[in-house]
Amino acid sequence: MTFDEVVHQRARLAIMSVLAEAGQADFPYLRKLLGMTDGNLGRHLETLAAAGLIVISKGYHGNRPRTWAELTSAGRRSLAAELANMRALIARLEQG
Amino acid sequence: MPGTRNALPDQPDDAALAAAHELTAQVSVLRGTVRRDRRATSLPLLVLGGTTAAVMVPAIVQPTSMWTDGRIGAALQSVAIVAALAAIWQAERHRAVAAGVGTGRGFGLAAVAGLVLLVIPGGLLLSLIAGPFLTFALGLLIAGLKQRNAFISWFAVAVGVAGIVNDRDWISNRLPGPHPWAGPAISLTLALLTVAAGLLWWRRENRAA
Repeated sequence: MTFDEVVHQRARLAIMSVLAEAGQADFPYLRKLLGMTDGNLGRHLETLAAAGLIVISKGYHGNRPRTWAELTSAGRRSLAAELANMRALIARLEQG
Repeated sequence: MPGTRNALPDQPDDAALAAAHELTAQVSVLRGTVRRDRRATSLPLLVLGGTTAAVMVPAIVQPTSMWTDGRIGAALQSVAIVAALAAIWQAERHRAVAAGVGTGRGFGLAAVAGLVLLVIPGGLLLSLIAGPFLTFALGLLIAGLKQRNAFISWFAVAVGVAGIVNDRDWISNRLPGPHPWAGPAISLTLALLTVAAGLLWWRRENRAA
């Protein structure tokens, strides 16, 4: 059993979990829900985007710039694999 | 494999187990919070169920009216359902802009599909034959699949099949006695069932957060 280092990181796993449920979420929503600073969140989003696990889109609502993040298909698969691995790890450790 | 590492790090099993539990619990809490923020299951069921119930009541109160009986009634009910799908789409879009979560894409596509079904000749004929629950089921199923919402998708299939079967009088024809209200009453029941499902999901979404 192996874990993807990009996904198997607390903050990035949290981001991907939120996006899996949300479909799409913007930067302020993610920052508020996850309790991260702008810089910290931005770095994790860039890491996920560079790995092809999320796509980041920028636009405007009125005059307000908005940054949105959304999981890619690869991101969904990676998240599913990560969660399956964790459940398997828990099961194995609990069996002793 | 690059970018991966062994799942059993240099920590005792107890610590690894605690860490894994903590991570899965964190994921569960976060997803529950997002579900509550989006109301992605409860809101569509409440709006669609409520609208469908509202348009079924006249058919029970005045079953032989031109506007409630037969194909004109079915067409008007289908139009109301398409309007409900569009309303859900707009509500989800508004939430996406205001709260920064969700997309509304699923119900946008559903509303367009419902409208297409009503305006193209073959689609209109099909919806007049199958009744308003064809539009109901198609819209809900498209939205459920687009949003990867398994409950919405399966609910759409179940209620859709029951509604279409009922509209063909395959249920009411098997009931004893004259009963012009039976078909509309069954349709109303399906609509109220949808509302009930929406209420249950509302409570579930509150609890999960």
